[in-house]
Amino acid sequence: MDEASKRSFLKETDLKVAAAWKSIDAFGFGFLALTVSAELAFAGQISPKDQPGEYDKQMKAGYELLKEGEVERGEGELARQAGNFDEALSDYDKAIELDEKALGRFKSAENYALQEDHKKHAVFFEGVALIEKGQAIVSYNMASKDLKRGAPRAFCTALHEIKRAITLGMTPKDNSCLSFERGLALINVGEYDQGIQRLTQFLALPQENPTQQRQAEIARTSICSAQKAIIDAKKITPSPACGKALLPIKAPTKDDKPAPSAKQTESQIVCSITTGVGYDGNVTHLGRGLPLPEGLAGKGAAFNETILSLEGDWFLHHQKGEDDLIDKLAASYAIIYDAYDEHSTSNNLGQSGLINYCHVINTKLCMGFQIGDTWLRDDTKNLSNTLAPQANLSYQESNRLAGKISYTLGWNKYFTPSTSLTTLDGFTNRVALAQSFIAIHEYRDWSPDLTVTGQYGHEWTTTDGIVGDRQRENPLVKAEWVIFGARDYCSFVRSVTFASSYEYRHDEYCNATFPDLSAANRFKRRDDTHLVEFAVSIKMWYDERMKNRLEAILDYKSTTDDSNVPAKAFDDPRFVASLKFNF
Amino acid sequence: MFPRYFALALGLLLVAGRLVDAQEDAQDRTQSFFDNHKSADVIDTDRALTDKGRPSPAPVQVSALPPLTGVTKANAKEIRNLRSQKETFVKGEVSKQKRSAENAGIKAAMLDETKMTKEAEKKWENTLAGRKLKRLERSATTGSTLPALTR
Repeated sequence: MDEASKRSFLKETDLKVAAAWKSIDAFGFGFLALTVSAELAFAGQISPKDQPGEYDKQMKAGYELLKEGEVERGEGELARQAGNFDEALSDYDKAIELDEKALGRFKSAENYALQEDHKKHAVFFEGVALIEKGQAIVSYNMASKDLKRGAPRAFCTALHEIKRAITLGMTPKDNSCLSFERGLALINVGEYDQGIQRLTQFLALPQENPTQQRQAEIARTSICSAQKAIIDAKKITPSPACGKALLPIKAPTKDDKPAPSAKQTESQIVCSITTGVGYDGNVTHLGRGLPLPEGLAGKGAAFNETILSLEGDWFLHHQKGEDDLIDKLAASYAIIYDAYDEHSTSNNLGQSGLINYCHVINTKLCMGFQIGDTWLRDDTKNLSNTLAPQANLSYQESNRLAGKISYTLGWNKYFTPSTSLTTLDGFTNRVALAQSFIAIHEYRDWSPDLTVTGQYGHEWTTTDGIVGDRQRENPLVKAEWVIFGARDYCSFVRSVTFASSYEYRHDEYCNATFPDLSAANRFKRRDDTHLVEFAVSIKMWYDERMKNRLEAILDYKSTTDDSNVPAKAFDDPRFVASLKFNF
Repeated sequence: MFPRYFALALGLLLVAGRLVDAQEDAQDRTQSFFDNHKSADVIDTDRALTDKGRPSPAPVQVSALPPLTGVTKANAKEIRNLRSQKETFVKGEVSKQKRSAENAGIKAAMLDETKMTKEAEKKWENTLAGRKLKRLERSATTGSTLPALTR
């Protein structure tokens, strides 16, 4: 621009500005001032999308952090393999921190992305950072005896982000490692079949540079491990005879496999609270055809049940040959309260305590001793107390079959008024034989398991009086069908189980005490009770410690008592919907 | 006298008749409570169909996969072998130096073992195996498996 042009331009501009100023009246001036103030107020808040180059900067920074994290994890691996576990843990912690920082950078890059095409790359690398973080946590847990949480969540979120990147248009052409990273995420969340499929797709591509060759090696190792995991999942492995800790104490390991048990005494406290509402069709077990007592609105009533359960467990390891056997000592306490609408006299408060010791003799045989007590009362008074020691022996005949024989001696104490003839205080002896059979066990989401259990029990009760002495035959059949069992960690619904049972009780009273003790023609009471139960249980919300946090339970029970004493013959349907929270 | 005894006996029998019901109510009610809350039945502890009254959750499968790592299994094994070779080499070198120093009349307390170890380690690094270990260790920590940055 020469001097003359400059002058002409300035003059023109001056004129334009002057004209603009002249055209502003009082209202216009006020509006202008408001606009200027607003511009000044928002001057510091520039939209991320208004900063070109920031996307690239964030992506590069994130990638650098990711590389640093990978180096730290590599250092950790070397330290762990050399047995320097403390050093390894510190390296893994650094790696996790760097991966988290990288994730933050990629998230920023996603915000700064001006085009959808850019966004998909940022989202993909968010997934990569999460896989790296998950992997660092997995490695950390091999060098530590205590569990560091977060790996399943990191892998699940990684898978979600990779799928989001694909939705945004990401293809293997954009990044040849898409199938590799997706495969890793799938395998690490437990989706082995799909993971193998993706990694095989990746291996079909040419591996030209050393990085791709190393990735191919990892892909091959992961496929082998996933195939082994599928074979293991298909095997019917009998459940540990006495149980095992939810989070066993691990021995840090130098090998590239999950840390083995430290074989030292473990303890845990597990608690749950369950609350539900339901309807009981015959709260007081009113005899068939009998008129409703005065003051009652109806036979049936809605009710609320609440159960608080606390359990302390100790696991004691002992060696027999090459087998690590685990004994279990469990002490549990539960408080149960039933509150009936308009039938408050039927409200129950039960408190139950159980101490159980299970000793494993060998991998197939274990013996147990337990002592339990249940104290029952209503809202105003004590009703009964039942104290019952038990000895039992369990035997695992095969992978699918397990049997149990038990003897229980129950001491019953009732707190209601009685005479020497009518007192029911006394002892119940019970001998029971149970057999369970795993009918279905498959590696699939739908219908993976079906277990059937049969039990036969014989009881004889002797009391201080004459009215309660009886013999009982008590067969029971129950089936538990897992309709759905999630194989990955990401599914909110963990399992859906349908269970049902049928129990028959034949009670033969020993003495003629009916219709009453003063009657001339007395007869013995005899009851045939049929108990049918159906329950649907939906376990939800995966948690690394509790395995599932929430559980919804729908339970229907039907009790039919065909007694030869008309007043004792009744029908009682009962339905309850509950929610259980484990903590 | 007789009417009094008779009245007492009759009274007891009548009361007993009522008490039978009361007692059985208590017994039946306890049984009913156990039927509704099978986990609280201490006489038959195995009949519960749900785990409402028990906190122990059922075991859920846990992934048993080995971790992904830049260090391949073969490399890791080789690194372990070389490290153990290094340890033997260093120990041997230190004891050799100690022996020669003692032969020269230097007292054991006067020897700087840390310095001797460092010297032995340096010597190891110049051997073929030492160089290989260094190379493997470096490649284990720097051989990235990250996808190439695409933007």
